[in-house]
Amino acid sequence: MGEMDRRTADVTGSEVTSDAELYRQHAPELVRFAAMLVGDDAEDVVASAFARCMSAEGWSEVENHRAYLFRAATNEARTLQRSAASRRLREQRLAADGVVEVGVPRPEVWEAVESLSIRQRAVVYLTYWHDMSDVMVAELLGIGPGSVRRHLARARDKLRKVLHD
Amino acid sequence: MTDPMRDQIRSLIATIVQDASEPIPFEDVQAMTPARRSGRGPLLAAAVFVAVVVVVGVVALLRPPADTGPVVADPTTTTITTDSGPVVESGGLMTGSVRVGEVPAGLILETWEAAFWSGSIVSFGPGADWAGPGLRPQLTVQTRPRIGQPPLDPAQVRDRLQAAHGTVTELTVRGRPGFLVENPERTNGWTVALLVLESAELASEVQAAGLDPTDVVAAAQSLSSVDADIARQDAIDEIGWDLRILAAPDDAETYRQRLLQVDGVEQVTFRTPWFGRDLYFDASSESPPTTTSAGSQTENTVLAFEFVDALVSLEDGTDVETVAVAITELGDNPRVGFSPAIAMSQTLAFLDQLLEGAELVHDDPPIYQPLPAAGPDFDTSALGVDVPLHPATADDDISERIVEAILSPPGVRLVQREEMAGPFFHLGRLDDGSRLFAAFGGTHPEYFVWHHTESGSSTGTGSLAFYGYGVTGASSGPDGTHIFIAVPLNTAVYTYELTGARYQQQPVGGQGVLPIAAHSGIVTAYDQDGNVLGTWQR
Repeated sequence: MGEMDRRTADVTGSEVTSDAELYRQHAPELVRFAAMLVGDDAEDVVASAFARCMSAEGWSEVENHRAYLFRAATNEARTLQRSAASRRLREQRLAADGVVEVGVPRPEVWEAVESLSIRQRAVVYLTYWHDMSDVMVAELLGIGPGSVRRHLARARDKLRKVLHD
Repeated sequence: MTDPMRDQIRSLIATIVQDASEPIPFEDVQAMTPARRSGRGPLLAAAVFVAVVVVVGVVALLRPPADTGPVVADPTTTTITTDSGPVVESGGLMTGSVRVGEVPAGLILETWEAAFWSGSIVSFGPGADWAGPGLRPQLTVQTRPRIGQPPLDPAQVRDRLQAAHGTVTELTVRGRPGFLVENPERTNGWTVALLVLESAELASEVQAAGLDPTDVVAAAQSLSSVDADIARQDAIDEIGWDLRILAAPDDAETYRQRLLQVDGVEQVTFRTPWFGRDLYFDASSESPPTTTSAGSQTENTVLAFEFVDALVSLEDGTDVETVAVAITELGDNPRVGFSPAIAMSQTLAFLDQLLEGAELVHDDPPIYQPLPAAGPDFDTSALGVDVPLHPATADDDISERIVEAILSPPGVRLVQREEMAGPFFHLGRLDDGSRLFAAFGGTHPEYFVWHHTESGSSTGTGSLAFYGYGVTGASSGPDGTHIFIAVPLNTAVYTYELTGARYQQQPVGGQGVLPIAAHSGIVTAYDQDGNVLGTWQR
């Protein structure tokens, strides 16, 4: 067991789970979740999120690791998207000077999802794929049920246009 | 009820997740993991909240320099302290109360400077429309989290204050070390401050001692909407928001709902004025003090302020500046700040604009002269005395002495070379020989300006133009006082007015400097055709 593979008390305090076990337990579903958020960068997002969590001071005190990891992955995805947007902007600027070629075509299905914000994607995935209620989604993502309903409504509005085109 | 889109959306998700790759092996994730941060473990493990919070209460009484001697603050009536309260599940407020001898009713939130990782400074005042009489009251509360850190050594605090301000008198306030600081050299007039090193349990201690709260002078309570997990979750707290809003609305929840109606706003969460990771408390440790609405005055002259500290997440792709402006236009005099990531992004974009067409006027270190915005195409003769900013050229006389002053600015620590996000900029030279330079960098993106003459240097700081316009800073030195001004980048000319005098200047890079011994005034920016871009009063 590596140094970072610490044993962690679970919510009842009666069992312990190592980081490696937590990763094996949650990484597959997190990667599927992240695929909805960022596509091909999913495994990197999950790895980064998990690495960040393990280095966080309060990690050993976290009671609901699954929720913690889902939130961390969502935020990691948002960060990735922001940096990707900045990179695209710079590349477009450079491309205008004839330096870099940009504009890789994306599958149509991904374009539909790209019209959603990261948090909207997360809400859509958990609601429709895991059949979670707004309360459950709210608990998992650390936001209010009202926010979940609002995100879902906005996401549905956007998807409706794409799916019906 | 059946959702008609359910199957379509599930099908869409299936298309995506079926191609999802396998997780990266755990061993590789371990290799990515940085060293665990140290220092807060015992606090977190114990899940307790007793914290040593250095609370600095400042009453700054502003007035023009006069020969009547310094204002003397009475420690029994001017102490301002804050306390901290429980983490709760619903949105909360930070509430500050203060009793000051002669403070008019109706003080409003005026300024907020967030040093994100090291505390916040919140100032209340009578607002821009205030016309006296007497001294203009201003109340500034500065807070610094000290959780997990050793208590400050009062002797060291005293020495630092002495070095910075000159006159420091040691006091004992409610059994705690305090310092009366007098600094008549401040450019905004006499400043008297009372600093008290407080603990986090002030409110309960007051209660336990059976003291009359109105005699305690001040108490504050902060509530947070975050739960304990999130409060100590660095990964989320540091990157999960885009804008930080501080405002003093009549009703916090109504204000939050109005924020949510702004186009592009995705989520609004009330927070403590410090990051939750640094400050969270036991729900039973304190009880909220009685408060009144913002700016109101009670019979016993205790003024109470409520303000919300909200973190705003934006929908992806939203223009952050547009949202910031829209939130400002909601009213309630909000202060809008960007997250560190966005602020840095804005800084880099601003740098790009300054560098466009800029001339390299010095090689080592590289110093660029940005292009001025297009000058006015209208008659400016009625706009006041012209104070031109002369550009530098490659064969200009930016002497090694000036360069040395840039690299080792005197008095005030400006940006360190290794922290800089870009090159130095020479924005202009005034007829009095002083020069305006700028650099970007620091822990958080800031815009440093200072002026320099062959006979001496003095320093000052201004704000990035997109953070706010108008008078953004002042400096003093052996050559007198200069003020710094920020205006929109497309400003062709701006005017500055103070007590009947009026000056005009063509800014460079959205910045201007005037050899005026003041820190306030009215700034009006005009575009090339003479249209008013904005007016700002400080």
